[in-house]
Amino acid sequence: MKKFIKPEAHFVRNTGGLSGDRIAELPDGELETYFSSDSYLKGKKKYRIRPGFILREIAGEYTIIPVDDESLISNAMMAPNATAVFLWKAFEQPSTVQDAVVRGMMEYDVSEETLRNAVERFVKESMEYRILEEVE
Amino acid sequence: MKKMWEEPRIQVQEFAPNEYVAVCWSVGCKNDTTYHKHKTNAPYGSLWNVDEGPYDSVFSHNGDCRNAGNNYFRGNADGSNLEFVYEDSHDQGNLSGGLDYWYDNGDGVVGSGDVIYWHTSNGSRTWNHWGYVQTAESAHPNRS
Repeated sequence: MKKFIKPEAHFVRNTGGLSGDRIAELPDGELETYFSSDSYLKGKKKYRIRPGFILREIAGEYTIIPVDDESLISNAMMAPNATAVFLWKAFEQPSTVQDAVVRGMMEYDVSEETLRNAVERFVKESMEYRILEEVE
Repeated sequence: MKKMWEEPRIQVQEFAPNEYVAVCWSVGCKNDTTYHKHKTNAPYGSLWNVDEGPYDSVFSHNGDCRNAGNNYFRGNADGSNLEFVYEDSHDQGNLSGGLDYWYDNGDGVVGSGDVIYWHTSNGSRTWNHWGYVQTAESAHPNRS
């Protein structure tokens, strides 16, 4: 009997420089090597908002309330702007950076580069403040 | 139509109390100074910072100070910033004063078993008071 794992599909940025057609033609060994690059593995990382934060909407304004004593941010409330709320919601479920970028591109009028930079900054800073956690 | 993108920002707003939380305990005066004679039944002696008096007329602690509901204190549960605010004296209005001593029972929290010394004044006379702390809500000794 196999163990059931919740089905998930994530976007991972193709950082190796090969087109999709070319990747599809790669022999198994080269494909494995291609997908073993540091940048690809980094892109596969999934992040999720740590338990201990509650996002509430009050009269159209969003507030994030830390409710976990272990949080680095305590005795405080957090006021996110609209795009931070978007990213917060994007990472409420395990998501890659590219997942958030793809969702952002569908919702916002913004270049992919600008969006990716913003998402990567959000992830980096949120990890530092222990707001995000990396998940398997 | 797609939305305009802006740099994501999260502003952290720390809670900063702008006033002390109202205390959830009360103290009624137990002093027995009466008339012209200074004596006290305070359990830990005279711990007031000011002298009571002058004993120039009838002097009693049988009035409003006996009623814990008339004595207003504020401060933190750990005794920090503890102060006497005023006594709601029905015949003299609000009497100002000060907190002189908090005798903790050893638990580091203002609550049952502690003794508080304070004084009030109407400008010409000073009364010294002491009383046992009565916790308003025994299930929540640190809050109402």
